[in-house]
Amino acid sequence: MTKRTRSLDKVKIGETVKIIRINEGFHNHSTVIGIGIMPGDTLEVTSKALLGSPITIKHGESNFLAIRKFEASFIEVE
Amino acid sequence: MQNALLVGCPNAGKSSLFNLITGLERKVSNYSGITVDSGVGLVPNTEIQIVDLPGIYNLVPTSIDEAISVETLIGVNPQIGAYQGIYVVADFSRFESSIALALSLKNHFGDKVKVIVNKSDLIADLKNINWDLLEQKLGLKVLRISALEENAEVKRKVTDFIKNSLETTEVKPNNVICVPNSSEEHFLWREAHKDLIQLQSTHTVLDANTKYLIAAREILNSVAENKDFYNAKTTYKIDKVLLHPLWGSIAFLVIFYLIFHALYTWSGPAMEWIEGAVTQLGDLVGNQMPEGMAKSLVVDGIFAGVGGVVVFLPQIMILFFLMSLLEQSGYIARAAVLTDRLMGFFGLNGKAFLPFMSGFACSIPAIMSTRTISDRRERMATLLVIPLITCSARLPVYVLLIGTFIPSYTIMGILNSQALAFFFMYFLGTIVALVMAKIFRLSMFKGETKSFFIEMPIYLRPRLKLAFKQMYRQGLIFLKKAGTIIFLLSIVIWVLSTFPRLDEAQMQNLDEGQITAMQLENSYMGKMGKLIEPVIKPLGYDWKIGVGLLIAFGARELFVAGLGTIYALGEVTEESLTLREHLSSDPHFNLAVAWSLLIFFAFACQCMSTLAIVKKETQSWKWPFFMFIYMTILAYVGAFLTYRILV
Repeated sequence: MTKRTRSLDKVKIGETVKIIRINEGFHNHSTVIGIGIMPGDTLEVTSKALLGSPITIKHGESNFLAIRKFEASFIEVE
Repeated sequence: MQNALLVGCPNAGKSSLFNLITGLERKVSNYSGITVDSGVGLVPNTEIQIVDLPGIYNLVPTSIDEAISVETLIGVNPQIGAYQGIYVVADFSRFESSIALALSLKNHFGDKVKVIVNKSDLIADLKNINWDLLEQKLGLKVLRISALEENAEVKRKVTDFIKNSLETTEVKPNNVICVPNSSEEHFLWREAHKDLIQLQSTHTVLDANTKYLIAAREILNSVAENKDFYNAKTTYKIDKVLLHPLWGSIAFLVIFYLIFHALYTWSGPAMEWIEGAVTQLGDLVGNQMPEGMAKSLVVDGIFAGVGGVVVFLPQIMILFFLMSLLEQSGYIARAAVLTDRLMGFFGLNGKAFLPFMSGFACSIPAIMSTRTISDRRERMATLLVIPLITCSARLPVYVLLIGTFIPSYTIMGILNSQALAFFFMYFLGTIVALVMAKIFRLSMFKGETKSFFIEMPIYLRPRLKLAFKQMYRQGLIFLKKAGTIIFLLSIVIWVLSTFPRLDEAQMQNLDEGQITAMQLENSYMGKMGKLIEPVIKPLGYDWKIGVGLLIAFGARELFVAGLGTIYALGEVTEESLTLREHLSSDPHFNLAVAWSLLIFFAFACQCMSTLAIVKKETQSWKWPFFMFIYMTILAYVGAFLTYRILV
């Protein structure tokens, strides 16, 4: 059974998801690659700040990141 | 002379390693973007110079500081020029990215690239990896250092490694470096590297970088049994609380209030002790000297001037001690996340919190650190409002006025009224900075609020030794300033407040008190004060405060030194009083005047070095000029309104 894809900003706190693709228009694409994130990797949404943005995520065991909700909408996950 | 470049991901510990090898003290912290400029230091007893560079993830610059690293690598940074080796500092908590960076550099520079594996504080990590195989697969020399080793041992190992692996000839890229169009604007020396850098579509560049990442993963999978090099469970748990929407916000306020509370209350006893010592020493020296000009110069000029400033040493030291603890912990990046929403509202980015934070110490490094903000308009708006953040030079003035005029009592059982007023001044500076930023973002630097993306470092236990070192160093800088600039200017202030002398005719029929007062008012300083009195009268100031304000445009501490001298000269009694005692016994000084002054100091741009750095960073006289004007207007209007409301 395949889950339907959605954007990262829709993911709830505590969920772990897999990156499908990063869409055109995403500002920090080169930094994201630089940090070591690419499609196929899993992310855990660890918390959301007041009013739902920024979203903090965990990648791997030691990569902790924060991203604005608007930007997270460019990242497709399942 | 040979140059060795240290490159690596942000917060990988390049500057720590640099400090260790060279014995210099470049600022280190536990968050990205501390190093924004290239720095050099000699390896002792050699002809080798180490070059510390801002952190990069790849050769795609997204801000000015990253562009400086790329430009240094292609040899066009005029401060560095040619170099003989590239050393990638690989951080264990971000090992894969570090290896990907090494691979992308290898593509352009071949085996001139070497790798130094840093921060491997877990012995299990070291055993987990087949290092020989890693070296072989990478095709690059690898040195690994462990946090378990003694500093001297690490220093020897790294120095030997660099010494033995540096090339004799200049290292140059063997092919052009491709960057996307969006990187172009960040470069500083565009003319110099026309043939070395090529603009390409974002797609092509990103695909190339993804390949390095895939290759890095493959290599690490084949050399390590367990690929989770660094398991950060503690950080994960702490963040559950500190990044929680409710608890995190409360913790944020508590942390910052505690810092300013401690800054204000802890320093009290130490400050009184220094104040007492300065007064006693002044009396002791004064009593040895015969009455006359020389004695007045020493007692009223130097002791009242410089001594008045030196008493604030405890505040400066406590501020830097606490800031160092906070910076080392890794909390600052979290604070940037918590404030992003608010910053976004004012047209800035959570990343602007980092320069703001260093602005609490001093505007100069803070203005430089805006280089990490990638959007030019956001950067300019941030840069222009940084001097409104309460820097450490404002501390003496705030403590003096709050301590003298705001009654001390306890609010709600735990909060102290003076500490609260002090916290309010810090808060006010920050809020006004944000409001001004919003105004700039709606006018001169209009544009959408760009993205926010930040990495949060692993929490580390702050090292007390480092905090004490920082405190000692900043205390020394403060004393040096008091002993040189403030000392010289105190003498100038004394001369200007003592001459010209009254003649016999003017002194006829006056008693001693009247002569002293008239002498002061008749001096150059007094005349100058009288001249500007009409301008400052609406703010509630008399000529003495006016003169103090005027000289504070040279450096804020001079306000304290200047008033110290002027009041000491106007003193009739034999017993010397401290500046606080002078101010509280001056009938002209009251709560309204004190608040009016506090507001003036909060907003006025009384710092020549800040204006100079703005000129340097913006490459134009227009911006320092603009900054000075808008801040002065803000200060004047703010002080005027405050006085009118309170009086």
